[in-house]
Amino acid sequence: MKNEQWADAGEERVGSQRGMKVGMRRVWARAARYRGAVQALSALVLNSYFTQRITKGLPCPALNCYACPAAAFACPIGSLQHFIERRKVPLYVLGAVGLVGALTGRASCGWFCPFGWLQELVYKIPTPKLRLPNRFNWTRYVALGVLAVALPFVTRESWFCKLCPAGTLEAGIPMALLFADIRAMVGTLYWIKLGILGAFLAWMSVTRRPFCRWACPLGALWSPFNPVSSFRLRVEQERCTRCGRCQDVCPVDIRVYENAASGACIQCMECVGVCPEECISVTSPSWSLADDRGYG
Amino acid sequence: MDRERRGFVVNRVLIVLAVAAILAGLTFDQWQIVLRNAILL
Repeated sequence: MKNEQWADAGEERVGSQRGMKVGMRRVWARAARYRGAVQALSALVLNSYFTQRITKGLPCPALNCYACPAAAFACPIGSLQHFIERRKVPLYVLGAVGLVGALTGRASCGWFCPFGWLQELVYKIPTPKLRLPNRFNWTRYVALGVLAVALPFVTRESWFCKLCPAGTLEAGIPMALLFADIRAMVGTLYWIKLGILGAFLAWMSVTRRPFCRWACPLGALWSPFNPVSSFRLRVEQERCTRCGRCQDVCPVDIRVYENAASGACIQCMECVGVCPEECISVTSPSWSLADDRGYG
Repeated sequence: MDRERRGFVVNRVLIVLAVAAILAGLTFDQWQIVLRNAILL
């Protein structure tokens, strides 16, 4: 009799956990529908100008150029290079980037990065599309290691900032348009920067988020956090039919069912709502195995 | 230790390390360095 009661209580608990999982999955699926609005709001807040005297000392959770006249926060990659140039250990910047990574993985790329949002908007332009495999996406680690760490250390100059297409768009072009003395300084490097921006704009109209996948050093810093972050995707492999619907809606074109905690995933949650088998969920690591917290 | 628990421990250790790094950076006035650099640009 007692055993039956235990079994009933156990079933009830599993049932309620499953119910909570399904409910949270719907919340995430609904939230993903408003992701565009969150990205627009984030672009506005990160470039809201008026708070910059105080907030520019805070690294923002996105690649947003702080040389932009309206930028309200510091770019983490720009700040990182500044410390490396001065041969100082960037404890504060790495701590801020690490905290965001440990809490959310690469979710900032999917929800808050203005340059990521721009790439998604440009991809909506009706052009022939080119689907590229993620096989060579380790190149973003090269961008981080060479342009944002090694070259600034050796030459004492911020090489990634010099070539960054986000910086050209948000700061290089507006500053040259606004100030005559900056216009007078325009030289070969400026035209190289414009060429890089033009190439990425053309590429992002045919391929999903090329800069995030192959060139972003901030994405490279956050990628290793994906498998150990407080929130991450999980696929119930036994229910997955590998229909590919998740890859069709994925802004970085990954097969979620192959590795749900992949470093390439930007945790936009677009795949959670489209899975016909409802086998993609958001989980959080927990100590107690019996209390597997499913957040959708 | 199984994978789930290891993930939990690594996650919490990373959060503590990140907060410690921020606090250490603040004691070396790195917030001011970031602010000054960002405003001077």
